Amino acid sequence: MGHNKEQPTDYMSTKAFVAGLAGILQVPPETVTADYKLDSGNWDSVAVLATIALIDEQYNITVPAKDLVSCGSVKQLLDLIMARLAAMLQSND
Amino acid sequence: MEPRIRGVGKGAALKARIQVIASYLPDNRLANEDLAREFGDWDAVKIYEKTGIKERRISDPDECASDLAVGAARKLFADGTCAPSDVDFLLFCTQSPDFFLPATACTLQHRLGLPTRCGAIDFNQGCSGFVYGLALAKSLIEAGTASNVLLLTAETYSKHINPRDRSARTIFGDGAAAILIAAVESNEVLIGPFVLGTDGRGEKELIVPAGGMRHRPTLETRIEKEAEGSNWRSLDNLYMNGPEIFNFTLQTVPSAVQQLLQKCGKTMDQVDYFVFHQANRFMLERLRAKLKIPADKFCLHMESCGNTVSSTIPIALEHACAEGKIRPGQDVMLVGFGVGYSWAACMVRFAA
Repeated sequence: MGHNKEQPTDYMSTKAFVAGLAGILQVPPETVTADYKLDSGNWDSVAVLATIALIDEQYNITVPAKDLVSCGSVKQLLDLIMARLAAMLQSND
Repeated sequence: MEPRIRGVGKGAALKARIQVIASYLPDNRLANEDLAREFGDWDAVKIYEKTGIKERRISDPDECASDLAVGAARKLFADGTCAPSDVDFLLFCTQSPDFFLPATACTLQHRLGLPTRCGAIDFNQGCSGFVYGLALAKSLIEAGTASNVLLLTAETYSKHINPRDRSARTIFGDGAAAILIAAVESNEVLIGPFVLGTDGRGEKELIVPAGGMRHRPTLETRIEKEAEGSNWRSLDNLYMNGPEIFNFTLQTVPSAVQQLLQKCGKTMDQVDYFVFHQANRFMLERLRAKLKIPADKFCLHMESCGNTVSSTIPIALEHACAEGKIRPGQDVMLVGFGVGYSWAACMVRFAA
């Protein structure tokens, strides 16, 4: 199942993703900045599952679960998604 | 063995059809309140919100998959549609057999009083097992090898799960189902087409690592270790990588559904009801949203029994038929997916 090229992968989807992530972490959206820490307190198995669903919904991709689990900050999470998107786009060309 | 083919009319051919489904659950209940009490920092309401499960049924220590299967089969025979003497093939699906050998199906032939001229085999599949069983039963019947196939699915995953693995204990429940598939004369396809798939790269994501010949059980494999999310388990226990299984599902199930629609020349709108393997509510809700299936056409049935592995689809079907959610003649799509990785999707139509 390839990545849909029509899917917006710009600022808007990042914003929607961060809003979704705030919902998963149960914190106000404005607190979820790039250096927001993902740790054992909030980054549990249920949060990881919900984030897999959110990434699928927003970007139509999946990222390896072990990479996702080991993300320590929102920046690392976004970098992981962007790297995966870039790889998908390249393989479609 | 002589196939008892009744006179086939012109134009019509022998087709396999699901005649009756009966399920059986062990008596022992494990409610969210019990889990919350045992694990201290858990809340029964939260467990329900996260999983969509209120209670699961757990087999007693001396209650095995064959015992649950006998319970389901006796319920099926009590219905009167079929007598044990009519069965000429037994298919038994389990991943928690009574013994390494003989096949539990042979034990079941005797215990159920099936004729000795009855074929009987075990097959080892999990969440895709019921749909695989239908594919085997259809092939046996439409090739003229058998006329009345009894498919039994039964699982006691609780015996594989470490008591301190709260994630697995929350999701899985024990249970069994009995399904009679028989030869009928019909112009229509009543079971099928099928889309089957396998990707053995997923073997380590849902596994009982020790106990077989690859990794014999030893004192060492019994050592319990703390794993993710303060779940404890040993190599003798069931391990499930939940997030990776979720990834597999998101990648595999929607494309299997599309392939099946293409194969039978139908659109999503032309399918009357969808019964997916009842893995957990969260996963099913995401799949439903991704496939844009209306909520009233999508089965959710795990509240009272959890994930019973190969029995979730027949248990859900029995329930949906009894509730009138599935009516005779309707086109129903079934999709099983999980351990292996293995997946299977098919269409079925119930008797009018």
